[in-house]
Amino acid sequence: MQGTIVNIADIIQTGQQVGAVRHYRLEATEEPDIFTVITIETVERIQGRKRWPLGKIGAQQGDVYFARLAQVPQRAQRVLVNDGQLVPGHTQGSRHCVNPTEVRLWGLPQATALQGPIIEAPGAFTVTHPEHGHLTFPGGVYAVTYQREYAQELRRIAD
Amino acid sequence: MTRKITTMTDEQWAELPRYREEWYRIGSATGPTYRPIVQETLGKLYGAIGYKTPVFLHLSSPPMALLCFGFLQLLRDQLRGQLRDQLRGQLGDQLRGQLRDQLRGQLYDQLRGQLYDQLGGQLYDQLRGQLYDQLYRNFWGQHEAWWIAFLLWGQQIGAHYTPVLREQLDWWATLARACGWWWPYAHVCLVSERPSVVHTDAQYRLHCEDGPAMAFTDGYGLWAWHGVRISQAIIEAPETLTVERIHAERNAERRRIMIERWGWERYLDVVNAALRDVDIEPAGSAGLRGLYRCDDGQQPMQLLVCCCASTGRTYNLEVPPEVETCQQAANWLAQQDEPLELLVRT
Repeated sequence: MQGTIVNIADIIQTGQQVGAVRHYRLEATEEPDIFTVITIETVERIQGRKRWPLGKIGAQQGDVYFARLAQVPQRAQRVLVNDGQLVPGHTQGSRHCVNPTEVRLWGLPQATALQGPIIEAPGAFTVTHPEHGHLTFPGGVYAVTYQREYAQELRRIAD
Repeated sequence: MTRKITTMTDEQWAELPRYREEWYRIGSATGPTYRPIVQETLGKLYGAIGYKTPVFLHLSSPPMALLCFGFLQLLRDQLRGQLRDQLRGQLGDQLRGQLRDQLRGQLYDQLRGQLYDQLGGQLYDQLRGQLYDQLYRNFWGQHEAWWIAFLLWGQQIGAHYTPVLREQLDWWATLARACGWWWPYAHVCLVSERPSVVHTDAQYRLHCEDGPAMAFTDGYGLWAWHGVRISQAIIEAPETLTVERIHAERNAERRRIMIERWGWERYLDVVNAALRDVDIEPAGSAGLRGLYRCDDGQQPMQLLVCCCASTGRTYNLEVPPEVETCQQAANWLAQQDEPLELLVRT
């Protein structure tokens, strides 16, 4: 492929179904590590059964990733996030939110800039995002991480 | 006898993020100075080191205070005896070293990064480039809230300060809540207003997409993109940029921002970027994604171009030059060594 020049528009034009906020639901199955993926539209559509091993990233919502954990790490501390935002901040921009009554949030004491909170949920909970769409997870423990930025990495190396 | 604090309760840990946010808000607050309070408090600080209450000059912004300083220099006597070092020595070492290192990371360092490095520091850097040598003889008012917050938290969780130090710490806290930068001299004290506008991104870096990220009522301002200071034109009139101007920019960060403002799609097209790899996103709605490489004559740049099915928006995510495939690019972005296998992506 190296050296091939194609019209950038060919790549860009493939975005489908613009508009409505999408909603996916993951359901735990009786088999360990196997989840059912359901797209919630006007009628629910089952997309299939997929494996999500512990410790691995299995879901992505925009620039936020979710990894499954067996339990809350021992050194984690409870954090209170009043508005349930998973990406800290107070301005417009990223709005990945949980309902604080559905989950408990934990933080690692020496978290890096790319490590977000750990979500502990007794039952199903939904992470909403007004543009990317909503994701519903079954109860469990999930670690939130953020997407890397190359410009940031360069700056870190320069420092 | 000082008692070193070595533990915090669960409640205190839980309270800490809220406390930090509260002090961030104080440090980044906008709006006019509370002049009577500022004058009364500064009068007490002057008194503590044996000076009479000075004449207060309130200025609209730090550069205006520096301009005023320039005029006062013509009347030399007015500026005799700068008091910064004496005032600094008052609290100084007596309060330090009492709080545990872990707390430093959670409170002191984070707030320092947000207020000192980002807000105060960016303002300082921009002003420093403009011929003033008086910048370091001042205090930062709200922008030094980080160390005040740290010491006050220590007090809240049981660190013991003497009554005199407690009182002085309260004066500094009052100033952090009430004013911007100030320059203390024996007979005159110059006090700048706080900014009228402060915008940051979610990571607390100065950032505004359509105007100044920090501005004062007299029109002085800073334009910044995710913490990188750039010219007003790049933010407010990106259509005036040209490929020639982008390539002439030697700072790699600023060059990236210029391209982002001008439009990556347009840029990749104009510089005839090469498509190195293309595949179909394995999860979520199947969309194409491509890995592009362009050489702008300075250093190779690589981008993963992908489309978010929900929003229809195209994302251009830069990845290191050594990445060879779309899948490797996706792994790099997620910090995963093994191939990313998503069940769902939205």
